[in-house]
Amino acid sequence: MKFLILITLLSSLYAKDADIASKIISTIAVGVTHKENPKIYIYDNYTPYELSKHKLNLTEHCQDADIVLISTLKGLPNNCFQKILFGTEYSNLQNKNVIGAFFWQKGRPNILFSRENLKKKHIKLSTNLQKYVE
Amino acid sequence: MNKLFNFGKMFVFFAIIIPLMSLVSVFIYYQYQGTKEKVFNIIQSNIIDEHITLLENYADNIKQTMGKNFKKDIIKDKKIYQNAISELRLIQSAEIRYIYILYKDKDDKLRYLMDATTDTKERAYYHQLFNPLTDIWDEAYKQKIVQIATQNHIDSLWITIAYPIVIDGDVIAIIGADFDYHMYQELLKTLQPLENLYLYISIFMLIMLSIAYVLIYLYYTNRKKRFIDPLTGMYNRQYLHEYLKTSSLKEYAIMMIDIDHFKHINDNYGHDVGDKVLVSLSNELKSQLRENDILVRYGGEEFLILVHKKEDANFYLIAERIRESIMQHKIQGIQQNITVTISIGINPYPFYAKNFDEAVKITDEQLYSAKSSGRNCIKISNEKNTSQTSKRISDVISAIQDDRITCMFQPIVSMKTSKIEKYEMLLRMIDTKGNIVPPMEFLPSIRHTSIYVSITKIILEIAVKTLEENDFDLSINLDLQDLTNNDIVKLLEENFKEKKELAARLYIEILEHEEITDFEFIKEKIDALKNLGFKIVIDDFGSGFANFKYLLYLNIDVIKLDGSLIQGIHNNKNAYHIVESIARFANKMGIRTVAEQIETQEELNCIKELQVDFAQGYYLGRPSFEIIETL
Repeated sequence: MKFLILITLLSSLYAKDADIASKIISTIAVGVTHKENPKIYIYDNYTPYELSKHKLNLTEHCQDADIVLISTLKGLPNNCFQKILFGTEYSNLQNKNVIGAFFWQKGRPNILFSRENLKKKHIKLSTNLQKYVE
Repeated sequence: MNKLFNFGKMFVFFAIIIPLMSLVSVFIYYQYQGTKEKVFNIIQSNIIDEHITLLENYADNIKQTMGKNFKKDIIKDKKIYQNAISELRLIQSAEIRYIYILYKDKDDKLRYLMDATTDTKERAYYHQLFNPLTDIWDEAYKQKIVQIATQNHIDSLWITIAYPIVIDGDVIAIIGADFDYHMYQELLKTLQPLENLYLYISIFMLIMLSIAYVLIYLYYTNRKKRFIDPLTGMYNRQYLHEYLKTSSLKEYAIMMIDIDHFKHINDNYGHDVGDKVLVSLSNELKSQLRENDILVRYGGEEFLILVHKKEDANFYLIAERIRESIMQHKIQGIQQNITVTISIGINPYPFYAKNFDEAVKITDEQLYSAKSSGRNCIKISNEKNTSQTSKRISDVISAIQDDRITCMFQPIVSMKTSKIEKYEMLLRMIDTKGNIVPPMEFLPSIRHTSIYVSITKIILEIAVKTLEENDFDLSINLDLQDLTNNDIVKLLEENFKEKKELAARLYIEILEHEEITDFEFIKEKIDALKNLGFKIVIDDFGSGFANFKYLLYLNIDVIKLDGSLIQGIHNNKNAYHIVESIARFANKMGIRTVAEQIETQEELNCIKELQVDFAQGYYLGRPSFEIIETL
């Protein structure tokens, strides 16, 4: 019984951050693609933080995606480079193909967009994301 | 049924003290919660104050060493940066998870100036944008004083302090310190044992409370079962005793009701019908009573009512109404058309008695009187005879204690030998003035009490002593009802069990006030006495209920002819012929005869002529405390 309570408690705590992250990713995807329900592809199926994937419109193929979440560019298929790449770590911003990143630092969610990379990709962000452009 | 719940001290304890204790316990628990919060806040404040002091010292140091150029020096001079960050790391402790310094750029955005966080993954770069989740940073800039926020939205953090570094009235940077959530948990853990203690006490009290209420429920359920007669659903005698522990007899009159000839109903229609009659009559009785009256099934077919007193209460009229209603009552649930009558005895002054048993005895006397008067009637005691009865009971108790219960001996003469062959023991009480009190003046008052058994014990002890010291036979008197009294039968057994030769010389004269209806039962009792060796005498034969039927059913040794047949027998041909018939019949049956109340020589001559075996009376010898050995 105690075990069940612990599991429920932990999963609810875990769900809190995962939900926030998913909501932010979803908002970013809409703000970047200007689509109502953009398709998201997670490369390598890895992000440094957890996501409530059922809350995202995920696709299993890069070519179908409107936006690709990456934690690294190593081994990324060529056709994916045509897509909008969005990082899950601060260091991802060093690559000019990555337009921005969302990551957790000190327990806080951080969103950053690279003005230069956005320009290069001809992407115009929605107003609500403008303040994160650097 | 509300009278069933005479709430005593136990109930007060169960129903008030325990819930009160539980409430107090809950109150204490909530008080503890408040105290815990206060203690927690105090500890939290102390921890925060302690770290604010450290941040203050750090800020003062910067002011003194670098002043307004702090930001520029940090950026330009790596050594200064190294020194500053080393000092900042010194502030970091087990409580502080992240420590960093922020500044505002020209666009008013918060950016990292330094980050002393040990974990490199969590460490921010210089100039990296800081994403504030609270407004404490802006407030610190605005108000130029330290700001504190509790991080409700971040799972890993507990509290964040924003400490502004103010130089010459301007905020040049803000030191940020995030307290680890682990610290919060540690604090809670410290207070947990105390909370657990209160919680366990409360749970314990709650369990105790539940148990207490279950026990109360069981107690009153059992109590109800114990006090309710299962057949009629009315209260039983036990309830009455329990009820009177907390109630005064002054509030009530006692009414005792006996169903007339109830045994006939059982014998003629069976016990099932008898039970239905009891149920139906008890319901009818109940319907005739007021809410304050208490109906009790006191014995087999005997009911007792505590009639609540009102100023205008006429108990006789109440009883008459009840008697009438029962007489008119049609018994429910049976096919037979049975009419039932009742006899009622009333004691309007039960509080005159010393106790409840005595009050019931006085009422029972009236009931007895009603039954003796032909049944289906009411007898009510008055103030005078109630107090007299009560006094008599007290007098008898005193007489027993003072050894003033004794016996007289009246000789019984053999008609064959003209010698005294046995004596009849006659109970007497000596009052405090030395007067002799005959048994009819005090026995009826004590007949159904334990005093009656005590007196019987005294008589039997005298009988044993007299038989041991003399050669003659003795006779003692017992009431027919005494044979059904186990205490008295036990006394006979105890006194004569090892003395069969004495028992064989003891004649038990049985006198009855009521007709025998259950001959089988009485025969059984008489046979038991005969097995102990006693001889059985039917007293007052030829009068009242004592008749030939007894000789047919019961194993009798002697019949004592009633005095009314003997007195003036020489002048009364009818009496003469009756005695002649009885004596002849008895002789043929092997039963011996005694004629009592012989007061003249003529009466004695007649008795001799009729071949009666024994005679007694004033002519032959008056009762005496001393034994008259010869005529």
